[in-house]
Amino acid sequence: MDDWNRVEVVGREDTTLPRGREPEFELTVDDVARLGKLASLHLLEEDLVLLAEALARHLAMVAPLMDADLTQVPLDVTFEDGA
Amino acid sequence: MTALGHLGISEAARLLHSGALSAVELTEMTLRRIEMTEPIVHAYTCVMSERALETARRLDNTPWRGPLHGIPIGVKDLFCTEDAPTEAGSRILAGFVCRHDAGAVRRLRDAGAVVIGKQVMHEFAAGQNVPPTRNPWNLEYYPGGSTAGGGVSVAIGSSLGALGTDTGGSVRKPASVTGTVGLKPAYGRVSLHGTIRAASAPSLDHVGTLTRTVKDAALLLQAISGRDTDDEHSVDAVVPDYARDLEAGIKDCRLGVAPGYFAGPLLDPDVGAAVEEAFYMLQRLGAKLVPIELPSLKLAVPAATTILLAEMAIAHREWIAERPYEYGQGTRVMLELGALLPCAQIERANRARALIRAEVAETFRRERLDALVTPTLPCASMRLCEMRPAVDTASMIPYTFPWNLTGQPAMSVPCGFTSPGLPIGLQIVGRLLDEQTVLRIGRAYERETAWHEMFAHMGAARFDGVSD
Repeated sequence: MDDWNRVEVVGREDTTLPRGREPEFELTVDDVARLGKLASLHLLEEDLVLLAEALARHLAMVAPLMDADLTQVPLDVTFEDGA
Repeated sequence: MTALGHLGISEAARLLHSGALSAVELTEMTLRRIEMTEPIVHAYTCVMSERALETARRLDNTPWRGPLHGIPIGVKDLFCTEDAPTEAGSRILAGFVCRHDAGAVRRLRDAGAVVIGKQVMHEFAAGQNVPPTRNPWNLEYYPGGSTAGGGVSVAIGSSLGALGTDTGGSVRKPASVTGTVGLKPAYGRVSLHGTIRAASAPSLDHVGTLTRTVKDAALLLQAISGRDTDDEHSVDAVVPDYARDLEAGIKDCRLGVAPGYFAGPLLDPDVGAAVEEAFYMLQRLGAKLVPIELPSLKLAVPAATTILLAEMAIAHREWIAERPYEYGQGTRVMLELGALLPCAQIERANRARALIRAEVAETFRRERLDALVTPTLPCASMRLCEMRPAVDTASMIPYTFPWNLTGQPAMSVPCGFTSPGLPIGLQIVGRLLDEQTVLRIGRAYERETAWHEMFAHMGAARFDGVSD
């Protein structure tokens, strides 16, 4: 596991998804395995590298969402009063 | 007679209704077309030849039911059909046969359509594998997805129309890259009952159509729309006559354009040029282009992706624990990712959805917009050998995904080609539950252009012998 223990992914480098800040995330396969345990998931060892990369890409992509001020926005997912 | 590969629903319906063509003849010709093209494009998982011919024979001896009477239609392999397996592109569901038709399939059959086969899709519509289907405009290129077989079959005439589903662009994307018309109606307009839940994010998913022309889209939508009490998301709203105002033109229509989001570095220059030309055409037809800003759309892809991942992961929790090796690795990793997302992120995604919906609704009201026009995709198709599904399929949908969040109808119509000859799509986004206006705008554009009359050159060269 040591050979592929450390996975570095630069958010913007590996994705063309839109805009937002460009954070760098470093996730190890151990981080991901630990997250899996916390979520009561049995993650396959052979998935951990890809999952670490996918999670890093996802975290970079959702950065604008996590930065946005949404405190005043009501939670309403019905469609009846839409456009 | 128009060659079969060039025949759309409305023209075939005219021939069938006049008696110039029988349902059996049309079905046989379509089956021959499938036989000749499938070794090259792989659009189908299962062709229901016997049942299709049996249905056609019966239809030839029953009163005319309407414009879909005797028309061969393909359906994505996530719509349950009582007469063929429904596998959603995954080994997890290998051999699964449902005893009932999906709601939309049932309505198709009630309208007299001949369900000719089940069509290839990405595994569980997740977009994480490369399907065997090939783009007839260039066999080295991605055919779009997740409704991969639907767009291709319509483009080469191995079906006259297709049913798909669209959770982030899965009908509009294949339409854009195959030069066909892809319509995602309003949320809840068409029943999702009897589709595979595991291939869906229910709050984003829509049943849609792939056709050769806008008029065909109206005919197909008419047949499958309407309230279904078996689907909790089904909308209880009157279904309009979609053909009624189709030819009414777009004089004085107000069309929003939002270059702040639908342009910029993501946009391929060929796509940008073709779409700009389409805007000029819409202006020449009498529409007024209204520049607008929709700043909240910068949250659309993060929010929609988060919701999609979470809703899909819920559906797979047991299978992925018990049968992980029956998934393709890319799909499995995506589902594992969805299961790891924190609640706070999902909650923020739903707030962002509310923000986007409110901003879009207010902009439509304030600017008195009839529709919004955008490129369907930021790019044309991409080479399969260079494709990284985990990254690339997502990178194609920033312009389609917002309308799955808002539930507005949206349609892709062909509007040109890139320099290497790959199709480009123009997206028309309407007011909620207003597919009529979307279709009318699309038809007005289609009537003045010839893009929908151009056929896959690779297909034409190879498939001339089966043009009937």
